[in-house]
Amino acid sequence: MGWKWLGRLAGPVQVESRLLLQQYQQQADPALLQQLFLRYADALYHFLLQQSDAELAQDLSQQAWIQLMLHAGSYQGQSSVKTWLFSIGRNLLIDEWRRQRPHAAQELLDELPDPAAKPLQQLLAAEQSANLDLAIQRLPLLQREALLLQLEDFSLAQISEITGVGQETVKTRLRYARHQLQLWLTATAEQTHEHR
Amino acid sequence: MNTDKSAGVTPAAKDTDVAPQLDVALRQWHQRSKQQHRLDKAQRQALQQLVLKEKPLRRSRDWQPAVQQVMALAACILVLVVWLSPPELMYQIEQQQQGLYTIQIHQLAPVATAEQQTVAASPTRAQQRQQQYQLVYQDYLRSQHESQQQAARTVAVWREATAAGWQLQSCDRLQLQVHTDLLAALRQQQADQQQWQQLEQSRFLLLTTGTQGQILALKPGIEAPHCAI
Repeated sequence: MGWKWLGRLAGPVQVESRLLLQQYQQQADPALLQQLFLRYADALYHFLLQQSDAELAQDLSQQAWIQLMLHAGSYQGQSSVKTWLFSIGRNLLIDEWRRQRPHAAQELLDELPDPAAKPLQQLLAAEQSANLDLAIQRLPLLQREALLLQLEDFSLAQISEITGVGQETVKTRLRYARHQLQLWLTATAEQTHEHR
Repeated sequence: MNTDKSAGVTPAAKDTDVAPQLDVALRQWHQRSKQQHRLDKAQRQALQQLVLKEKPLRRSRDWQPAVQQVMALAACILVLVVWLSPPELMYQIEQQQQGLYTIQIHQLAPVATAEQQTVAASPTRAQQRQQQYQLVYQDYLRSQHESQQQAARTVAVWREATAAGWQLQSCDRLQLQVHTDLLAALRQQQADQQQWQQLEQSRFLLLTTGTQGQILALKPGIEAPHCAI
C-alpha cells in the first residue's frame, strides 16, 4: 500500500522538476539547479554507492550532474528528470567499469545465470553471515540495479528506460532478485532458530 | 509512460512466493541506507560548486541564428581574403633579339601585368618591341614544335649567376635569363635541397624546356656544351 501512496506523491514533484530544468535551459540560473540538486543528489549518490564505493560514487555523481547541466538543452521532457539523471549516472558507472576492468565489465553486463541455481552449500555459507544489506550486495549486479531503482520509486517503464532493456527483462531480474533474497533470509532465519 | 510505481513490485510479488515482509524490509533497508549514506555537507558543497560552474550548452533552437552569424562572418572573411590576396602569378617569357642572339627572359609576373600589356590602347615603343618579339618567339616555338614533334627539348647550357638571376647560354645562340623570383619558385618545388645546391655550383647545366618554351627541368651538366664552329 505504501508503494502506491509514494508513487502518487512522486508524480507532481517530477513535473515540477521538468519545469525547473526547462527554466534552467532558458535562464541558466544556479538557483534552479540548486533545487534539482536538493531533490536528487542524495538519491543518485546512494544508487551509485550501492554499486561502487564512496569515492567513485561521489566522482560519478559530479560527472552526472555536470552532464545533465551541459546537455540540459537537449532535454525534451520525454522522461522525468530523475530518470534522465539516473540514466546518465548508470552510463557513467558502466563506462567506469569498462575502463577499470574491460573483460569483467562485459561479464557483468551479460545476462547472469539464475542465482537460485547456485549450489546449496554456497548459498548457506553466504546466508550465515548475511543480513539484508549484505544480501543485497551479494545479488548479481543487474538484479541489484533493478531492485535499487525500484526501491527508488521508478516504475517498470522507467527502469526499462534507464537500463536499456525491455520491461519483461526488468521483471525477470526483479523476480530473481526477490527470490534470491527470500532464500537467503529464510535460511538465515532457520539457522538462527536452530541456534536458539 | 507508465508512472505506476507499484507496477514493479506487485507483479513480482505475485509471481513469486515472496513474503510481504520482504517488501517492508526492503523499504526499511532502503530508507535507512539512504539516511546513512548521504553526501555530507562538505561533499555536497564541493559537488555543488563544481556543478554550478558549468553552463548549459546552447539549445538546439538557438543554433539557427548562430549558424547564420557564422556563415555571414565566413562570407565576409572570404571576400576580404580574395580582396587582399596577392595577384596570381604566371610564368612569363619575354623574347628579345640582340644581333644574332635571341634572349629569353623567364620570370614570374602578375597576371594583371600581362593583361595590361596586351590590352594597352596605345602601346609604347617598348611594348611594340615586345609584341614584335612575341611574334618572333611564336615563330620560334612553332619551329621548335615542328622539329621536336612536340617533345620536350633538352640542351646543354652554360650557367652564369648574375644579380638578376641566372644567365643560361646554349650553342644555338639562345640566351635565357632566369629571374630570381622564378629561381626561388623552382627552388621551393625542389624537394632535395642538396640537388639544388649542386645546380648552383655547377658551371654547366642540362636545360629541359616544354613545348611552350617554359623551363621544365634543370640538371647539373657533366661536361660543357659541344658547340659546332
